[in-house]
Order: sequence, then structure tokens, then C-alpha cells
Amino acid sequence: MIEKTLITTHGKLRVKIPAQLQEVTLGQMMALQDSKDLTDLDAISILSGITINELRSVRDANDFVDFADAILDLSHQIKYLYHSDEIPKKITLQMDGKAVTVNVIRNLSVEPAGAFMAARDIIADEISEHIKLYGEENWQDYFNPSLTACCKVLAYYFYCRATGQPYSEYAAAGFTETIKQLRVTEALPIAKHFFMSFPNLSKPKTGFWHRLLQQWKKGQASSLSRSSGILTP
Amino acid sequence: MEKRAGIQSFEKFRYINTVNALAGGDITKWELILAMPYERVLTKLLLNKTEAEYQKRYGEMTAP
Repeated sequence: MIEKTLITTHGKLRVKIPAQLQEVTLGQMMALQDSKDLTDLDAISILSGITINELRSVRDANDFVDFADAILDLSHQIKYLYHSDEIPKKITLQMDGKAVTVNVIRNLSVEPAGAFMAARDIIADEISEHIKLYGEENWQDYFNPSLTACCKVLAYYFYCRATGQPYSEYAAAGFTETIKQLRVTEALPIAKHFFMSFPNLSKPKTGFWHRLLQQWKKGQASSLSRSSGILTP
Repeated sequence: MEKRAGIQSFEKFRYINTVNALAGGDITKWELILAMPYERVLTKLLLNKTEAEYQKRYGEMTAP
């Protein structure tokens, strides 16, 4: 983190922004990606959580030079954002002021069925959009899911595990606000795992289920459509 | 035949189509289906598909 106290027109302002990609949250990265014509001040605002108006009250614009340098450095690191495949063993989420730790690496299944189906639709949409733009050939080689889609998939994956609550489609969809607090370098490899495992978002627990899944895959292998052939017999 | 009848108009309902079919059209059972383990739901979908294929074949074989 890089931290400085700046003099404003009405006092002092403590500004703190990440200096390393590992310190940037998924929500911050989403906001950076969603902003058009991003200025240094916009980036400092997003990364510090301080409004643009407050930042504009700083007396000397040169006070921002260190932050602008840090942002330039971050922008170089962002190029490698999608390169990491290292899934964390566990992650910690902040919920209602409490830290909740969730095991990840040994539990990579999107459950229950509602979460699975919602996540599957998000992933299918994202892949279809990519194929529409760039074609189907070797689509996996160039596919980088949007951070918004990653955030939604992770919300469905983590909701029941982190809260211990029964599945609720509305609460799970709203869990994105908690997911945004995850560090982007933790969140992306987990999300990428699900995008690359599509349509197998759930790990088989029994031999019986596994055999059924193999049969299902044979019938579905050629289609990415979300309209399941087994939906309407 | 299904396409000509407009089955694609159901696509906008996404996975709710599956949930509704499994709930037998009973909205009060949607939450129960959504909260089930996915392997249970998949097993039921596969069973439905197998039954439908069997019924279709049987119908074709017994048709005059």
C-alpha cells in the first residue's frame, strides 16, 4: 500500500491506495475496468475509496505524483491479471464486520442446484458472447471472462458456504457485494476454474453420479446452448 | 416441430424452465428444487429424458 496525508482546502486528507496487484480487490478492478476515459484522479478515487470531489480539494496537484506512479505500475501488472491459475486453499470474506474463512481447493463445486444452474447460465452467456465475437476455433486460448461475470459466478459459489444459510437465489445474487471485497488475485483463479470446467461445475461425489454425468456429456458435448435438451422431453 | 411451435420463446426464462418442469409447474416447489444437491436434480433430468426417449420409441413401434 502507498499512503500519504495530503493538505486540502479545509484540512488534511489521508489517502491510501494499493501498490501491488495482490492488494487490489475484485470490486476495485471491476470499477477500473468499467470506467471509460479513466484519469489518474478517477483511478485514485476508485483505489482509495475517496470521492473525486474530496480529492479535488487537495491544494497541490503534485501531491498525487506518487499515486500516479503507483497506478502506472499497477497498469503494467494488470496485463498479467489472467495469467495466474493458482487457486487459493482458502479465502477470507468480511461479512457483517466478521472475518469468515472458506476452504476452496478441496471444495470446487457450485452447489446447490439453484446456484449451479444460475452460474452455468452466466458462464454459457459469456462463452457464447466470446464465440460470437471471435469464432469457435480454439476459443479457450483467448478467452478471458469479464470480471463482472466472474464476480457473479463466485457469488453463487460462495453464498451458502460462507453464510451457512440455505440457498436463496436473490440473496446469492446480492452476495456479489461481499465477493467484490476479495483480492482480485484470489478471486480470478477460482472463477477461471469454473469457466474452464464448464459445463462441469460440480464434482461427482459418487460413482453412480459420475456415470450419469458421462452419459449426459455425450449427449451435450456439441452444444453450448443453455436450453437443455433434457429440459423438454 | 417444437421450433415451429415456438419453443425458443421459453429461452428467456433460462434455468427456471428446468426448475418449473421438475416442480411439475407448482411454483411453491421451486425453492425446494433450487436448494437440492445438483447431482439429485441431474439424476432426475436424466431419468426424465430416458423415459421420454423410451416412450417415443415405444410409441413409434406400436403405431399402426
